[in-house]
Amino acid sequence: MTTVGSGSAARLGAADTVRPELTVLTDEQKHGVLREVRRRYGGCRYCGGEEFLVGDALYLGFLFLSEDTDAYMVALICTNLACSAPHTGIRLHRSEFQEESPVS
Amino acid sequence: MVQLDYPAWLRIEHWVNVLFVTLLIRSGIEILGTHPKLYWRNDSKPGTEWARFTRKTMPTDKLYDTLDEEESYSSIVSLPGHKNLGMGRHWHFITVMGWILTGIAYYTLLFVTGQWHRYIPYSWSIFPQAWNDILTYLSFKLPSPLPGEPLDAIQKLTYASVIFILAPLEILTGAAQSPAVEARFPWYVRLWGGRQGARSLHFFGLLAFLGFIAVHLMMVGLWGWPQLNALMIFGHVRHLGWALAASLVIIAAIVLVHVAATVWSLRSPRTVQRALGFVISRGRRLFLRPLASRQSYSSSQLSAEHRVNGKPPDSDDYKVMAVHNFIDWKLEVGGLVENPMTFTLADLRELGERQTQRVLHNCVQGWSSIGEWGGVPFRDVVDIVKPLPQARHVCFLTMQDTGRDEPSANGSGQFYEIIDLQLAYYPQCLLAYEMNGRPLPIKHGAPLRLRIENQVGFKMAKWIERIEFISGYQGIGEGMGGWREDNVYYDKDVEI
Repeated sequence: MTTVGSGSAARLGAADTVRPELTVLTDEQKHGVLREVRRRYGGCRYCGGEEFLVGDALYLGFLFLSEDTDAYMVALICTNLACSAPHTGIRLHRSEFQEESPVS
Repeated sequence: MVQLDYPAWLRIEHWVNVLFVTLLIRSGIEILGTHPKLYWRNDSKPGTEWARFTRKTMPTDKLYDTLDEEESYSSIVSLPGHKNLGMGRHWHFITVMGWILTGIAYYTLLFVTGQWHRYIPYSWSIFPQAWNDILTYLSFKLPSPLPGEPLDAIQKLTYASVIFILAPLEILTGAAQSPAVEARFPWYVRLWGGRQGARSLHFFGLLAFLGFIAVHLMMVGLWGWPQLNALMIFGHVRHLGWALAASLVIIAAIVLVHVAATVWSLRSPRTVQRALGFVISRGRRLFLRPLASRQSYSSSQLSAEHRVNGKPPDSDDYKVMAVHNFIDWKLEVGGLVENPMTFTLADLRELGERQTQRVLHNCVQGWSSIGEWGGVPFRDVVDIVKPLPQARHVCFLTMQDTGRDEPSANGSGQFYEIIDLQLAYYPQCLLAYEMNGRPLPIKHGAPLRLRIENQVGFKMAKWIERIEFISGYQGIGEGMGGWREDNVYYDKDVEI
């Protein structure tokens, strides 16, 4: 079972300042991300845990040479406290998680 | 009054000057080609250039950097040509050193021997005389020389302008492009209208020299090339045949130096880097290294769009760290230290007092921008890890893989740069995690980059992951002091 997190920097345990390249996702978009996570991986690649918090998105298309122009990296946190690598991410095309709402 | 003849020292200086000025022009064009755009404003904002010598257009949907804008010019016009900024800089700076020494000797001898009378006018009446001379030339006649002097009025004014205005202007505007000079004396840069103003004026000086050379050669032709040539070879109008032969030998020698410098630079750049760098770096360390940054630009002067060089690490590990705001990033500091340490970004934020500095960034390619950088003074980290007595340098290792991330650069492998430990104690040597009051952007080196304000930009490693204190760097990479030094033959100490 996967869950939608708040996506705030605080929930992600980040520093008190959020970097300018990150985009906050709506709940609807986060649901779209979780659908893709379930479809591709089923669970956490490191511990097998099934619950994730979905964080912010980083637009990759502009900054990184190898990336498609509509590529994003979306932050995932495995909620299993025993997980050795709880901070992971999923690379998605915009259409794979934005559904009707555009990324804000 | 002293006889205004052609003493040996004047003749020798003339031909030495031909060599130096032509080397300066060709190496200067090589440097210009690395960022073939000229601006008036310090921010070098794309699209605001008043002149461009490139037809390249940059993408709008992908991050590009100034390495992508670099042009490759022919060896006929640039030294050595073919996109070799490192070589061009070495030749430019070694020639500048020789040219300044020649100039000092020339000025001294001019005034000691009284030969300055040939150039410096005594009366305002020379200006209407010079105007009349111009009209005379335009009517295809030759004006009379000034009484008892070798030159006519317009020639005298022109030589005075070149020797006492144009040549010093080139030296002074060149100095205004040194990050060390700019950092220590910000008022001096303002004097020239800013960093890009100085660069643009330097370019106008280049055009003026080209114009002077063209007119000078034309004048020599009009007034009698064999006679003037004999004067500038033997000091008297005799043995015209021998003078012709000697001048051809001298010109051939000058051409040969240019060809040799070009071929040497293209075939064996490492030996050029070592040989010329040996001399240049001593000059830099003597005159420019003591200059510590005292910059503090106002917030209104910050560049709305700070230019970029280098592209971010294109790896999944980096992207995942970035999307998690670098919470898992760690900085290892080790090597020749008493206390090896590992810092998180939060550790660095809590370490000592946060320092901010609004400073002018100088790229080795010639562009500039003004940014505010915030972070921890590097000396605070140095004080914690305590370098051992044998530590002499600091190596900054980054997450950038140049072969993967920077196709416009020649070379591959992990990007690193090395600085002398001495620089770590300079007042504005900073490990920056913020820019303009916000977290350091990814394109500018997130999560951590180096700022050393009296050095050229490429020394300020971005995307840092490890800092190592070392006793020497001969065994690292190609042993030249950094990735750019190893691969594109830049100089390690870059106060200019």
